[in-house]
Amino acid sequence: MNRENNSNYLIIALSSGKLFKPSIQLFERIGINLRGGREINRKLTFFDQREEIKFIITRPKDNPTYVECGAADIGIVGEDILLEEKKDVYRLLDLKFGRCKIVVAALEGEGQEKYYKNNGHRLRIATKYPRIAGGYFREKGIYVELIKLYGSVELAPQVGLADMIVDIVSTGRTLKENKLKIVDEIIPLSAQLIVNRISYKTKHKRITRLLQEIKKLLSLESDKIAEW
Amino acid sequence: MNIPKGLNDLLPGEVLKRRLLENRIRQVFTQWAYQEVITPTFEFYETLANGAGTTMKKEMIKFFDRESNIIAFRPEMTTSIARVASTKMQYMPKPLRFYYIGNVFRYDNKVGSQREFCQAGVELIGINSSKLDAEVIALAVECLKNSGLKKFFIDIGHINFFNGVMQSIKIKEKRKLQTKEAILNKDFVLLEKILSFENIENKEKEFILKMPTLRGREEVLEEAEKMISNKLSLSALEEIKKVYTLLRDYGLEEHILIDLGIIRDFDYYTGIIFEGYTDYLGFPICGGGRYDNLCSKFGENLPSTGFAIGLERLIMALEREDINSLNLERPEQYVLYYQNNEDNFRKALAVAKDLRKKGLIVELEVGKREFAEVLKYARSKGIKYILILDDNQSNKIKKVEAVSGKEEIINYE
Repeated sequence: MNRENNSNYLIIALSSGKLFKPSIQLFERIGINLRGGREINRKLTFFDQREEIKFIITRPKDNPTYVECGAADIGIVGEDILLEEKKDVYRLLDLKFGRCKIVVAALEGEGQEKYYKNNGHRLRIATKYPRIAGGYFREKGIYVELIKLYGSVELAPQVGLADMIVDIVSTGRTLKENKLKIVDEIIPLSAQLIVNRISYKTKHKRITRLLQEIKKLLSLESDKIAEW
Repeated sequence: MNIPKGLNDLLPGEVLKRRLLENRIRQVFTQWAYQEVITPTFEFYETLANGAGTTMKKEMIKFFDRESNIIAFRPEMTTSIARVASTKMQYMPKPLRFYYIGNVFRYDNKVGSQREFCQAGVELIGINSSKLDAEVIALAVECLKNSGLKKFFIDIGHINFFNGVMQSIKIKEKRKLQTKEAILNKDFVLLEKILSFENIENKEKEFILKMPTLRGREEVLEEAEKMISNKLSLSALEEIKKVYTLLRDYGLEEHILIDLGIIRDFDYYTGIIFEGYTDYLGFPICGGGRYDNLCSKFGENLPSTGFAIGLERLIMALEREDINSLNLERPEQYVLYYQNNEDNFRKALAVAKDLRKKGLIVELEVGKREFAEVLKYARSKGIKYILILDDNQSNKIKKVEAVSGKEEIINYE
């Protein structure tokens, strides 16, 4: 949270992992020099001196925390994380890339419909997203027990830990490899641009300019970007 | 041993800074003729709920007392003070000017998830007037200035600006609720989606999306006037203008901005609202506004206004602006050293008593250590001088500076 040296710099928090490469691509396409950005393995910050932008790399889950506290002005973050952990930040732009969805999945061959209809026993749902999963089943009026896991959720039905899972899916390959199939789609997701509530006021001009450039790019190349 | 989540022990170094800051703020409050009140740390939940919206109700830390009443720790001070004003000071001439410095408690205080934090603030109770709105804002500026902060802004807005816009847009009631919620959650992606379903004018849509960024000097008011036509919002703009002009009379315009995007979390606000920011923090350091209906929940119709400053946040901002801004000159401290025997001990007691009377901070050496050890102890504790009683000459004291080792003989009668 070292802001004192940075008040002239616009600080952008990128998420490591799946969204990292497309985020870099996005900023390069609007003319921001990310020299070093592609090769970084361990270095967690890099600069564009001309534009006075500093990039920091965060764990995806931590990204909105950096932005909420003002350690970063802007964040690029997966929608799943925003939905799961409500943060006091502006969500200003759907970046359209990093597309995936949150689904309910069960073992192939089992009659999933049975679960949805049978109120006789409490379903056990394994998930990284208890809030999203809980909300979904509550809305459907299905009584479930949520089992919070931190990864490899696909394993849970195979070993009898859970009846179904709620997880994020992009190509569907992992599901298939684990003999799971989609029962229902809860919500489509993509990368989102968030902004700190104070920065949006104090650095408004620069943030708006950046947003406009990104919006222009998105509208010109929406098909291509969706593939990123 | 652990303490409950979100609570802190403040160690002496931190307490020094906190008290220093409190004193700087207290001085301003007092000079502006505000009087301190102290209310209970916890109260009936029912009482505190009068000033809390849905979120705040959830964030209150509650328990049952022996009579099975629901008790809650105060999540903020305004409600308690409104209760006091309406039930115990209702016959006093108005306006009432109160201040407080105290701890408040919430489960999920967003930043840093601290459950106990300190607020200093004022309530100006009994009269509705733009002049009084301006007074508390000016007072907030003075407090921040006197705390040592240099670069900061107070943004002023009006609760009815947003309310007016919401009332006037012509969309279905259900969508209106969604729209409001999206704006409150600062979710403009969702907001755009909701509005795209509706058949509303582009101009109106653009304006709603632009609202959070309408911030600046007077030109903001003109810009907004062109874009809206509903009476409620227009009269809100009028009031903002009045207060802004008054603050210019106070000579504070360098610290004041008009901000039509402010939406505050509390439900009790009815008029002018404001928040303070610095470049050094990603969240506000203070906030407040007019609440004309809260006191009437306790039986008296007392229009009021006030604000609170978050002291932990202010300390953070001060130290980021200037790391030394709360490092005051520590008062000089002495340790009195003497050769360990009965006579000397009694003499040391007398000397210590005398020095303390003169206003010095003196500790008495425990008595069994070598001088070298005492020197080490003094250095690591930041004690400036060691005073050594001379065994033979009863009226002489050797004064040794702990860091430099410089010696000086002082006569003592």
